[in-house]
Amino acid sequence: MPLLMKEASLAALPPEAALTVSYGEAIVFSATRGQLLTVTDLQGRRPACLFAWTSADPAEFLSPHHTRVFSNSYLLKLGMRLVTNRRRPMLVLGRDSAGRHDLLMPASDDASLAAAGLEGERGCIEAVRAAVGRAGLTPPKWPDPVTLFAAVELETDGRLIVGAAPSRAGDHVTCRVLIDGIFALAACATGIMADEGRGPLAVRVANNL
Amino acid sequence: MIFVDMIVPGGFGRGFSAAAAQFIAIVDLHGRQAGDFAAVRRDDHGEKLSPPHTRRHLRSLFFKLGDNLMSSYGRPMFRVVRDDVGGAHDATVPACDPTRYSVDFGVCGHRNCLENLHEGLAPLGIGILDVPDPFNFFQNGPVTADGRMQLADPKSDPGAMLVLEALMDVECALSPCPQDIIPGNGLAVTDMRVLVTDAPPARE
Repeated sequence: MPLLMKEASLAALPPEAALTVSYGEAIVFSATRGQLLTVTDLQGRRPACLFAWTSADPAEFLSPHHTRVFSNSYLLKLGMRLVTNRRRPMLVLGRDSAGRHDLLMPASDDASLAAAGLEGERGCIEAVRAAVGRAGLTPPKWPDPVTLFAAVELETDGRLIVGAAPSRAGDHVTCRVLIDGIFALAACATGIMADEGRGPLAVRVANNL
Repeated sequence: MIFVDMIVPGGFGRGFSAAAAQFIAIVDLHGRQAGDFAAVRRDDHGEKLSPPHTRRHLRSLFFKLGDNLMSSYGRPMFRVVRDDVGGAHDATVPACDPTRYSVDFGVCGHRNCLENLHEGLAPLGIGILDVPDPFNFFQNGPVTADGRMQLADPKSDPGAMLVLEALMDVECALSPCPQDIIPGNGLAVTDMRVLVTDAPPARE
């Protein structure tokens, strides 16, 4: 079901997709306005780093920093708009069984994981750049991530308390897509949360719930 | 020895260099003025001063005296050696840009920190998309109990100073923020001063 517009569209519905992301890997996919993007943590305790660029102009990208300012909230909450660096809503968090996500921390890279004692683990940045490259894309900017299923608590004195990976098997979020985009999702170690799972993530791009 | 001593006009931006072991003083000349600050490593502009990497390192939104500010490669880039406002700085708000004014306030054509910082860094060949996310020195944003930023004016008195020791050779830009619509600069945008020296500036 596309968005409920006054003028019904005669165009065919956009293609749907069902994908999985193995631990230590990233995938690239597209989603269009009106579709529903669902990310599921299949086995639990597996954070998911999400990136996106608009299809029309890859210099416009999903920005956790502009998202915080747009809603004046350090925390990603149900109903919030995830906006681009040009302050246009690209996704809206519409369903959320996990309730704990992060808009403040950087993506991991091989070096930060080695420094955290995770020698040999694949960094999120390396995984995403490889996947985006395999897709034949060369975005002009590598943004910071929106990290789903993350335990980063904020105290009123500014302290960031990073806990154990919080999600349970089957936890999922669903976002309505508002701008056609190229998305990347990584299932890599963050290097900051304790007890991270090594299971896969599922991605569903659908026209119906 | 003084390597740089310049006034950056309120609402405009300027670039400057500092070598490792030199000291950068940012002076809020008239008080209550935030200054967006961005930096890249001189030898590799891909290594940028990074608020998210600094947060990950410090496990805090805010830095304290003696803390290191980190690069996007996860390495110490600056050390905080003097702070007259006791850590009341922001490193979470992206630089105000054309859409900050056009989307949020309905004002087109307003001066903004992103383009100001870019003006300071463009002579190095840095494009506007590669302008690093800033540290907003003296911008005061206490955290509320429900996880929001409280809108507030800076705590800085006239002459308030933040001094950083550069830990690598850097190229920097400062933009005394042109925000004159909401709290942040006391609704009056004023000049700041930048000093780069080989010893920390003496207290006055």
